[in-house]
Amino acid sequence: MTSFNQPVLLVEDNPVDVDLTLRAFARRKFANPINVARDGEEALGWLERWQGGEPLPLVILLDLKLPRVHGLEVLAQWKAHPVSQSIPVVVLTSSAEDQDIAAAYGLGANSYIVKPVNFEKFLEVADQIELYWCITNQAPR
Amino acid sequence: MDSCDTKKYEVRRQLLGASFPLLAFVLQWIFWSAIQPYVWFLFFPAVFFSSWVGGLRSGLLATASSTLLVWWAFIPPRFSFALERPTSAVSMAVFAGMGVLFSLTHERLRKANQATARALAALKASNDHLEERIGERTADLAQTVDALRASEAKYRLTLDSMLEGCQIIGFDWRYLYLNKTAARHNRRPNAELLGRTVRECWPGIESTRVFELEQSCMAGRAVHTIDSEFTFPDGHVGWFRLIIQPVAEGIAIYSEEITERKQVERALAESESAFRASFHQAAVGMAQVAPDGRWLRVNQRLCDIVGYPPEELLRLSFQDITHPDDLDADLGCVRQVLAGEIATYSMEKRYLRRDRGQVWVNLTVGLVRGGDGAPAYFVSVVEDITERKQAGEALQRLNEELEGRVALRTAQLEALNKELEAFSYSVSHDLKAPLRGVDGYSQLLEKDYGGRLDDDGRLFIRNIRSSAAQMHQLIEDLLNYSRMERRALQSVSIDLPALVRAVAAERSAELERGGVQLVVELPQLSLRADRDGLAMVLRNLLENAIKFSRTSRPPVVRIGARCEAGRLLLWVSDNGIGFDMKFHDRIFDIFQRLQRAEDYPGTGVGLALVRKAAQRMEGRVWAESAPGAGAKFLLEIPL
Repeated sequence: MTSFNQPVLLVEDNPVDVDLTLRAFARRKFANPINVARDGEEALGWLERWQGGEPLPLVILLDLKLPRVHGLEVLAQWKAHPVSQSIPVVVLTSSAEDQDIAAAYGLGANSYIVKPVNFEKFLEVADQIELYWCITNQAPR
Repeated sequence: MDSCDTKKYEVRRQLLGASFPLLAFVLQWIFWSAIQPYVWFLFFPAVFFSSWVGGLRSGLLATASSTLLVWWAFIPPRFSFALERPTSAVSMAVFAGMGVLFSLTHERLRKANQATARALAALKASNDHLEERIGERTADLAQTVDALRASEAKYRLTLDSMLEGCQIIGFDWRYLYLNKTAARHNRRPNAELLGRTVRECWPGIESTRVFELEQSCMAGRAVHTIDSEFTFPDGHVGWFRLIIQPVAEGIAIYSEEITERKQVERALAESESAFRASFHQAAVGMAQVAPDGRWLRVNQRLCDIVGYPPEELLRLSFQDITHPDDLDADLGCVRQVLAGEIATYSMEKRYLRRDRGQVWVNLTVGLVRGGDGAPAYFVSVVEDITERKQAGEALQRLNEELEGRVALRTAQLEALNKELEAFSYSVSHDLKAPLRGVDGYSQLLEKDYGGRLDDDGRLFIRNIRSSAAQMHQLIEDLLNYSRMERRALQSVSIDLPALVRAVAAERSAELERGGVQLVVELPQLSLRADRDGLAMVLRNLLENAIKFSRTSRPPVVRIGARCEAGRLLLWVSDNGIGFDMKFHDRIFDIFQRLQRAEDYPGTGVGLALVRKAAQRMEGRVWAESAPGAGAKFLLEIPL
């Protein structure tokens, strides 16, 4: 059952991608709040907030190439921390490199999705993520 | 005669001697009337004979007895020892004196006789001994004469059969004797020479040195020895050693053939001089070295190499001028050679020159042993390899430098590669995000504001989006290309027909849409190769073939392969537009296009990717084509 007050955390440094992602999700009248972290450091900062009682996100959409702290490093720390280790992480990135895919799954990523350049396809992907991770999938609370 | 008989004889003689006065007394008694007054008439002879026969003692006894008998019987007064007249005493004294003198004289005579007899006996004995000795000596002499005869016969035989030639020439220069060997040496029968003179036998001999010596020997009795070469009337040439010595008959000439020895000597001399020449004129250093290391003989080249004059070098040993670091190795080899473990050795070593510089040489050493097997000397051949060594060292330095540069360059390349990876990474992440923006906002623009745009505005938006798509494709191809460069190859077993089917299936929609006739003719073979690389090649070649044959009616694409000489040859051909072979090399370069993009869309990366994949599989790719005649792309990789 989807909890409507549970947010989604989007970790993405590119403002265009942030805007397009938010628009894609908005098209579906998606009710859950979307929090955005604009770099690796900010993303890791959410750990303290969660420890302080802020609700855990339904899913985290994580870009890999981030300023300050790399996405894989962020992933590693979250998956190593008892508070965050059970949160589903979907790597959403432009890279289709084998080594990135292998590294991400190796660190405990729950899914790896390559961001399409074509906007129609991007919308499709956003739809699928929303459908699966926010509605179908039961995330820990 | 023994001593007993001698005594008896002596006694009888004395009795006989003593008897004469009695006999004279009896006769004078009888004939006294006729004899008187001569009282001593018969007694003088009686004493004489008595001493003669009986000797001194018998004479003295007879004298005494006669004196007493006459005094008593005949001197007046008769039959008394009285004296009438003093003269009677005188006559008695005279008689007694005479008697003593007779006795002494006879005794001396007898002794003289005895000495004479003894001397005679000794003389006789001596004579006998002498005769005996003469007999012996005569027998000896006879033996000696026999032996001499035998010896002479033997001597003759020896002369006859000895290996040296022997000829005896008389004082008249006629041949007296020649042995068998002489005949052989003279190369004519002895009968031709015997009895004839040397001059007759050998016309022209007077002018020779040999004849001169013969004359000297004949006249001066001097011994000569000469080695001489003779040319015989039959043309034969031979060397002989002649010993000319005086003998009783004249001179003897002993000859020994030394032609072979002379030939050997000459050969030896030639070989020695050849050796000397090659030793001294050799382009390499040569030396004879004593077993203890002293230089025994050195050539000029060796002196040049080590920078010593010969006389100075000959006072040193090889140890003195060997670089200390190379000495042990050399001495080790020397020991092995001396021990007979190895016959020769060769080594590269350094000599210290007289000017303290060092010279690299290649040394080859062999040992010459004497007749008794003991080491006589080493023969060393020394070659100056300083230049080669320096060149070698320079080469090594160069090599090291080069290796250093290669290492540096490799490090640089690795850094560059890392940079390239980082670049590709950035491209894949960062280049796509703006494109997504362009495409996304273009669509949003068209969707949300399309109603406010005219047809041109909407065309512009479509062009923006198509450019973005093209840009995206370019980025993806570039990423593939760089990935092909960077990825690790995996050699796996591949079922080639299955792989081709899989690749064709990926393109089935395009094949169907273009009505392409795909003909696959493959032998059933499996090989070990990089699956992704091979798939990439097939995929791109197939895409290419479909693309460039789409105007043909119908388009036909053929895929074939065969194995030859451990290599796989795989080809994809089409009946499309083909190309001019002058562009052959360019078509495999990245971003090179022969056709306009609107006619045949593409990024110009596909064939570059194929070539890159082929190279990484240690193979090659090439094409055969002509404009309008289709194209055939071939891949060759090792199995």
